[in-house]
Amino acid sequence: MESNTLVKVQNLKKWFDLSSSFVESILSREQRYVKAVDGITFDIKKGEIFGLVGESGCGKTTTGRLIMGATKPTEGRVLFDGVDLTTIKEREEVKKLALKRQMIFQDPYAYLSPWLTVKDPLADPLRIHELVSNKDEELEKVIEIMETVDLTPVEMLLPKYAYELSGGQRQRVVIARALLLNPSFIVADEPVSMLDVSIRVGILNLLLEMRKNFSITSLFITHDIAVSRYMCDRIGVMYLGKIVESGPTDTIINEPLHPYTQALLSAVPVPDPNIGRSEIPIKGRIPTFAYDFPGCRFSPRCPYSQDHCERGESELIEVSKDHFVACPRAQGSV
Amino acid sequence: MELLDVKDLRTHYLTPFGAVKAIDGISFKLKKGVSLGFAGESGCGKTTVALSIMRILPYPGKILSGEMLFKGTDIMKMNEEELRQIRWKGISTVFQGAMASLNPLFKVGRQIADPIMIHEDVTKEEAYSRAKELLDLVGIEAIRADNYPWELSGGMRQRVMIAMGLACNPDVIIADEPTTALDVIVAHQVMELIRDLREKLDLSMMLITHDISVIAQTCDELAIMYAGKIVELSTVSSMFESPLHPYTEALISSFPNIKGEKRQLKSIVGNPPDLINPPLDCKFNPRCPYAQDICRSEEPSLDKTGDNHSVACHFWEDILAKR
Repeated sequence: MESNTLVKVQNLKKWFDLSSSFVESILSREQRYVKAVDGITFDIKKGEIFGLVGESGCGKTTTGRLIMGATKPTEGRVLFDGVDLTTIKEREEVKKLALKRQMIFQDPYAYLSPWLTVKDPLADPLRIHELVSNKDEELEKVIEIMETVDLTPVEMLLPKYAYELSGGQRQRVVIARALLLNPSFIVADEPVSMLDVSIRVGILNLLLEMRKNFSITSLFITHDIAVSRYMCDRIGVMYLGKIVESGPTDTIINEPLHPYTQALLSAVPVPDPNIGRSEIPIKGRIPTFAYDFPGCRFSPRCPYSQDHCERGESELIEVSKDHFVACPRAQGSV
Repeated sequence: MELLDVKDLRTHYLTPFGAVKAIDGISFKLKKGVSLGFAGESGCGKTTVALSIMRILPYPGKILSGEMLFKGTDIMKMNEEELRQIRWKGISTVFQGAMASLNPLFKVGRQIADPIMIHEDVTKEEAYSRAKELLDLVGIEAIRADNYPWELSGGMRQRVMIAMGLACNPDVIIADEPTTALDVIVAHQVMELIRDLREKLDLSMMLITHDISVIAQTCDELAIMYAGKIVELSTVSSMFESPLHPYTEALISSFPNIKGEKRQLKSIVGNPPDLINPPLDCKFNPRCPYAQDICRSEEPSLDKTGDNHSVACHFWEDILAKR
């Protein structure tokens, strides 16, 4: 494995079992699954921000949770700095690697306990992982991290409870907590979707700064392509558990090849009245449930769908440098 | 002619902690066939504008003063019976969160037919067939009239809400965040539908949203709200070409865009004010990069700067000159 790759995801799958009871699972001949993540492969290089973009239900959050180790994959591997996270068993090793990966959650309102002050969620991890030896050192560290994420004035905010903070401040506490243990990798799951427009940019800029100052690698999960363009070096577009196109952000946005990416991009409203709205060619909606289809999963909605699309699924193929697409039409093989 | 003429509307929520000044003196006009957008952050009073016009403010909201002329008659002076006449038929609302606004116990066909039966002299059959036509108009198969709301997807439920809004051929439709809870592609389809219907039916509309890019592509005029006030009001093209209020300028430049040059986004420092004790002077001054002494002592009024443009800022001329 090349040394500049931090996270390597190989054919990762997560299927959720649909049968609701034990009896049912014995009686039903055919097992039914929701294939939330259905065989995805990608790399994240050191220091890079990789974006996963897609509509709700496409499996982007599940992918983030799989990399964090919050759920066990059905199949496939996640290599973190060369170590296979799906097979390590030793407790110390698991703990050591867990420290290096942190997550920023979507909803800062749900994440912070209303019983605790700002100081508590920031001080606890330090104590648990024995990174500080006494109370003074603990406080010093907490203040330092609060200043890093612009949670100022520190003295005023320290004794406050989570419900006394604004949405932007809460999200800064969440980010501070993720940065606290000096992680090398962060999964940011829709970190700004719950925040107001004027607050949003501040958080995005903070995350970009963190990358610059601490050279943190991240997986940035979002439904908003405009945000991903601002944040990410490379993006992967997901549809129904598969990555259908991936590549450098500018390439994907300027020359999208997969019909789904094209549709997604033309659906994004542009804050400029002089740019007219574009027609989107696709119809229908994402099938919500246990989707089983032998061919390309996008073909029922695809304007260019042909017979062969319904027979076999095409794999991601590199069409130009770093630009991968899973569509035979875009690959030029049809 | 103005369909709707709102003058100096003041709506406060009288909570035990003090009056939340959700709308603090706003005036605007809605002309026939025009679509007027309201944009601003959460808590700036946009939804309260809709609720005030429909006179359906929840407790403890209260309209303290103002005039709202709908086709020349003041909505403020109407009694319940008169209000019932104009709701749905004169002004209808498409609310945000279609799941919460549809009754899960009734089939959607019935929920669309209900207002038709109440407001028009029709038989049940006629009302139901009109409901099916409306579903067809918004792009749902008529057979779906027999479905319950929970059998439909989010986008379809939002379409049902739009069909309900159109049920009695209203003069004005107020759409409150019609696409906020929807996925990008579905949101695009719903906005496309609203645009088509406006052209087809010559509707007048108020579109309330936090997303100025939706307004940029759907509306003719735009009002920017901040802390219960309209700070800038103009045609959409004029607003995007030269925003004059510092808040509008900041709002537009804080939106990431997928077209054009990639640029550094600037955040607006600070937070929106507490509406129980808002600054008495210019409400934006604590966050404003141009603020000077006068901004802290005198509240600017919404003044005309050109034919179709008004702004509430002491320094709009300086801002314009710097560009």
